[in-house]
Amino acid sequence: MSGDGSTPLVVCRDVSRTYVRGSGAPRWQFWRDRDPGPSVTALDSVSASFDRGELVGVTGPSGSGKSTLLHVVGGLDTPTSGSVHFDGVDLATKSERARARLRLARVGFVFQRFHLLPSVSARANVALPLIEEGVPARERRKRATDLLERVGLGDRLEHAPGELSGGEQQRVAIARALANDPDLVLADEPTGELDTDTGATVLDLLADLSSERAVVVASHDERVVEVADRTLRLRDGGLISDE
Amino acid sequence: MSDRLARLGGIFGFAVRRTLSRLGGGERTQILLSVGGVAVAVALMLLVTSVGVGLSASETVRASNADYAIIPSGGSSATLDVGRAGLGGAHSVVDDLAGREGIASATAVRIDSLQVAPNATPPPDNDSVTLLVVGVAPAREGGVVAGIPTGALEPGDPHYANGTYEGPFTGETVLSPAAADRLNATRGTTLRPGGTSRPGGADRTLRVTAIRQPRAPGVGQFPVALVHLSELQTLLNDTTGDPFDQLLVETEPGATDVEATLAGVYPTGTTVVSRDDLFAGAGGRSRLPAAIALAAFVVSLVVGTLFVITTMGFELAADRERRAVMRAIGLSGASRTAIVVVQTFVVAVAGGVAGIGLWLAGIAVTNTLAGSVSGVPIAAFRPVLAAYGLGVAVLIGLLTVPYLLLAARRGSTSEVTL
Repeated sequence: MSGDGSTPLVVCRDVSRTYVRGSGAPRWQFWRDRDPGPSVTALDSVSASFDRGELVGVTGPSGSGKSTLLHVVGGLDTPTSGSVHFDGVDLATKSERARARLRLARVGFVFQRFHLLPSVSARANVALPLIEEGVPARERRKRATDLLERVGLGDRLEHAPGELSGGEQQRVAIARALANDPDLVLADEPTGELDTDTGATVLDLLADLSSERAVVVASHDERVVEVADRTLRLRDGGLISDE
Repeated sequence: MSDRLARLGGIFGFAVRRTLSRLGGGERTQILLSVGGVAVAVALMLLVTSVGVGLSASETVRASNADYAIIPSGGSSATLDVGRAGLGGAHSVVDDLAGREGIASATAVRIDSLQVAPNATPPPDNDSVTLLVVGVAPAREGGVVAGIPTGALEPGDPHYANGTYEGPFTGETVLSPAAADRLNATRGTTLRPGGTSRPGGADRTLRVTAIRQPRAPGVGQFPVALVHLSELQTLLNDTTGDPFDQLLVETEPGATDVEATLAGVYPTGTTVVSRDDLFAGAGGRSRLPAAIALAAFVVSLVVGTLFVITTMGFELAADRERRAVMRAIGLSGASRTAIVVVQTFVVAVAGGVAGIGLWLAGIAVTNTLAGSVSGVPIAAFRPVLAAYGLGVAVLIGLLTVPYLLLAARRGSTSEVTL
């Protein structure tokens, strides 16, 4: 819950994220040169905020830092410099375990390639975060069923992901992201694997969700700009516009 | 606390369901390989152990209907240590024990090698063969000694005649199929034993009264002849002191304290061995089957563990992206670890169950093959071995888990691009 209603849910200040490619010799080969490899700046001093009730689009060419920004905002990664405050809490001060708890309770991820577990049913996929939350089995089943009905898949509860179309799989992934009723939903190229009509359906679904939570959608898809309340444009890791 | 229990139960159930559905689903190659590795290791271990148990059953006591044997101390398997009569007073001891409470029957056994020719010409000649000759005073109700039924021999030991060795020499002999084959003998064939295996051995003939399939694996599979004890002693010219090798004792149902009674028969210089001792490989006589079983256990454990480590290692690498997704949606490191652990144990137990099935099939195949070669099954089935196999499978899982956790930890999911 937001501390005082006027503070945005997530605030990023001068966030940079640099990755080092390769790290020379393995640690045990102490006699060899351990000079670090070349570094890549995925995010460069990006400042932005995200609040409930808005759908924010993040656009830019491949390699512009869209996915990295989503990972940093969702606590999946930490910035090399700068800060990310989630509901007033600096994520850099939190352990991996604490950030996992935060993601579980307050953040939902939707990925381009759905990333459902193929060997279990749609309902079991949606219920997975609820298991970690300690929700009893009967309640898990009920909530997962409700969520799948909400995304229009009430007749696909026991289907394995392989038995579903791409659009249906993405809707299962959205239902999974909503399992713990998060404050923030982060969708990384959610329409990237879908045809135009199915992609539009998924975007509409995400737009509906933004009425009661913050939704951030990273995409090449210009239709995101059309449905978004606000769009961040990134290039080479830097923020070039926020409008 | 209830949340924690619900989480633990949920993670356990999820991991079990996921692994089982993967076993039956489309992406099962790696997991099936792991299950197959454990199954083969467990099945081979159980089969080798079964054969070991079968071989232990070939010991004289197991291959008879006896519950106990009195053997000279320090002796090895009497069936192999021929020509060594370590005990004396065979017939008087048998008569003495026959009247004791709790003892159904006592049988003195002498085992020696003897050259025998399938004709009236005394050996050695070109046709003579060396047989393992087992001397026994058969009980009226029959019995089994060295795997061979004694029913075709006249009960008692008429030639002994209260120690005079002047009673009728029946010449009766029961041959194992291997002996009959070697001698080309049939029922009624006259055999000429070489009374030369001991100087002064009696010049007598034997008559084949029956050829009997061995009822248990072991010595009965070899060229064996059953004869009356006193007649063997006479043939060997070794009657002084009524010598014999071991005393087989069958107890009455519910009899107690028989072992103490038997220990008192020869206060020194003998060991009383029970059927259970032989099965367990104790008593200093049946250590070979136990050694075989131990070797099979160690090999199975090593092979099974290495197999699961290899195949599940590949499986973990392939599953890295999914563990990264679990991390992204907030599953804790402990939960992700628990899923790997449960998955490993499900694979191990499934391998154990499959291994038990393979073992049963292996027993059938082995015994069919053994039956066609030697006429007797050699792999013994014991239900307790199934539990043993399952236990070893779980142990394989237990030994595999630390490596897999290390591998899962090293293959960091944070570097996976989702």
